[in-house]
Amino acid sequence: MSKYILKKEKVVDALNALGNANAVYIPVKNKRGLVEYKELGRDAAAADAKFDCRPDVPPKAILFPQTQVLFTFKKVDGKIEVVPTEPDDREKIIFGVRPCDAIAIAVMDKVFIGGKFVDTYYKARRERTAVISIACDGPADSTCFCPSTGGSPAATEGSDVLLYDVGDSYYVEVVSDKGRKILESLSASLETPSPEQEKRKDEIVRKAEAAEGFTRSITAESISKLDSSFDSKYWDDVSRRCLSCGACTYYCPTCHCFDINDEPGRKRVRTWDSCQFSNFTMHTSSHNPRTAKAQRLRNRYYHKFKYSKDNTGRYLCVGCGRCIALCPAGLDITKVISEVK
Amino acid sequence: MSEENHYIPHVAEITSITQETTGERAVKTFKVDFKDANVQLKFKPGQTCMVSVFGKGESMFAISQSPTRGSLEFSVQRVGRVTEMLHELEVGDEVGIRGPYGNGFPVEQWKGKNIYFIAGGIGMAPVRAVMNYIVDNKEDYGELYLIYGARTSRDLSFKAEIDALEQGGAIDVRRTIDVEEPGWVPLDNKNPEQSKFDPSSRKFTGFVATTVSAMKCTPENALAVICGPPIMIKTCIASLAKLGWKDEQIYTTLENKMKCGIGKCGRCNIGGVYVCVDGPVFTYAQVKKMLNDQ
Repeated sequence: MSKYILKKEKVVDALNALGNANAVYIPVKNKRGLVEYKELGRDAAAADAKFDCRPDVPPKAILFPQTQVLFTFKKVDGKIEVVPTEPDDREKIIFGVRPCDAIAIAVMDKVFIGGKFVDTYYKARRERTAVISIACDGPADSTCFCPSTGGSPAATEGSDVLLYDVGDSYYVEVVSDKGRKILESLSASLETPSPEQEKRKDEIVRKAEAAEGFTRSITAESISKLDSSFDSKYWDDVSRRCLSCGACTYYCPTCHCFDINDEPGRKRVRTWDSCQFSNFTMHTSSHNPRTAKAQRLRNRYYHKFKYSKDNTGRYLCVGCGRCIALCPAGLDITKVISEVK
Repeated sequence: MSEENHYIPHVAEITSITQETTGERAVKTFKVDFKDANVQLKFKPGQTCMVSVFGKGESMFAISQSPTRGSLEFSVQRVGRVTEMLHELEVGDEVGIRGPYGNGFPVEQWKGKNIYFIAGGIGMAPVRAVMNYIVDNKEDYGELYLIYGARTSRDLSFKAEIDALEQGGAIDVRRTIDVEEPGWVPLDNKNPEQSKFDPSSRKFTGFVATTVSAMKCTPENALAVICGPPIMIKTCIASLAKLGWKDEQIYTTLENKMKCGIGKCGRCNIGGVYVCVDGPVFTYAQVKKMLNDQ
């Protein structure tokens, strides 16, 4: 793998250079004080990029927008014509992604592109998207638990380029051909790493491999308890605090449930939905398989740690910890799974 | 985009509408033809389609006619927003169709078997598709039976078609209704096995499960297809079990709220099973293995 150095003082210029030919998304603080990905030149300036934390909002919406028009239709001479939405075909770069969120993109690829049916809208965006990630130097937040779900603070999966913060510079590691091509366009800003910088990067990798500093975890043993605890009363007890607000699902980088509705203006729209909402599974007959909060909460955890694992071979959780940080009722996924009985 | 975009419906014109039943929860059968002659829907009995009323939304329906009959049909009960809008439509109006979805009935595996079709209410829609398929390939199958129940005699759909099948000797048909009407032979719902069953009678008063018990459906070299309301499916399975049927011999269709039809939107799962792609057809043996998530 090719290695370079990008001095932090050159990052703004590099971002702007990339922005000339691509839609570049960077984490910035929004009006509510939450860090989320915004498009450079449109909603954000390169100088506002905030690379020193786990963004509060994952980059999920760049590939899977919260609201997306699937098609419009019109009446021509009284006859209906369906007009599919043109795919967003701009080349995109998401810059400053945390390794958990990059893995989440690989997980979402399985959902939307893997399997028998391909989601055209997701695929069109995904094919034109490159991911430039920044390794975490230990857990980025006290709620992080990525090593428990197969991730790591320096994981490369889902990334095209991985940066390591080595002080006044980023150590740059090429992960994919897509990443190599992007770096070629930045060659003027790149330098060769010094032995000292190599050492600093190795230290980040060592800490990542040792999962150093993590205070939260889920063991494989606890997860295996899910095999026999579906009908446990535990879910009634643990869900008592849950407000069914859906915040966990909206901030989750892998939650992908959606709704499809026709809206005024003759369009069919796909919007994020949440399995925590009571009408999510309600039949037209008003029968509802998951009326109780406990059933919905249980479904989310089972989907993440059992159904997805059984069906696709991997968890639908990357251990980013946002659902812990943002749950208004203080529910902690690591605690919920660890205490399953 | 060269790949098929699964969310885009094909525009189809309603070419005929049959008013199957009337009243609050009326049933209409819609026959549709695609506007684009190049669009062809290859489907198996038991598969489903998303049907759109443009501007109102779409819902998943069982295809209610056999692929052997050369037409695409949906039989729709008026129960909710989209179905109410569908019932307002007239011949010549346009709808959107995407699909087919789901696994369908494993009709190839059924060759040589006697088949009991057991339907309740609108559950007759998918049963009609598979029953007509089997009737059209009758030489490959054994004896055929239909036990079809509804609340009253006025709530039975596909009357003329089923009468014709019966008269032509293609299938042994028994109809049942919940409430007594003149000319319908009463069965005892409380003691189904003790009910007097006159093999020459075709019309009974009693639950579908009662008729199944009274008729003493025999499990030897046979299978049963049960579609209808959950309580009817449950009681019919219990009736069959008492008669010595095995779980693997019993097929049913499940339904759940669906939005995408392709296993992405996350709402039709029962445990790790997605009804839209893994179903809707399951054996009772498969259903029993599912998590208690219904």
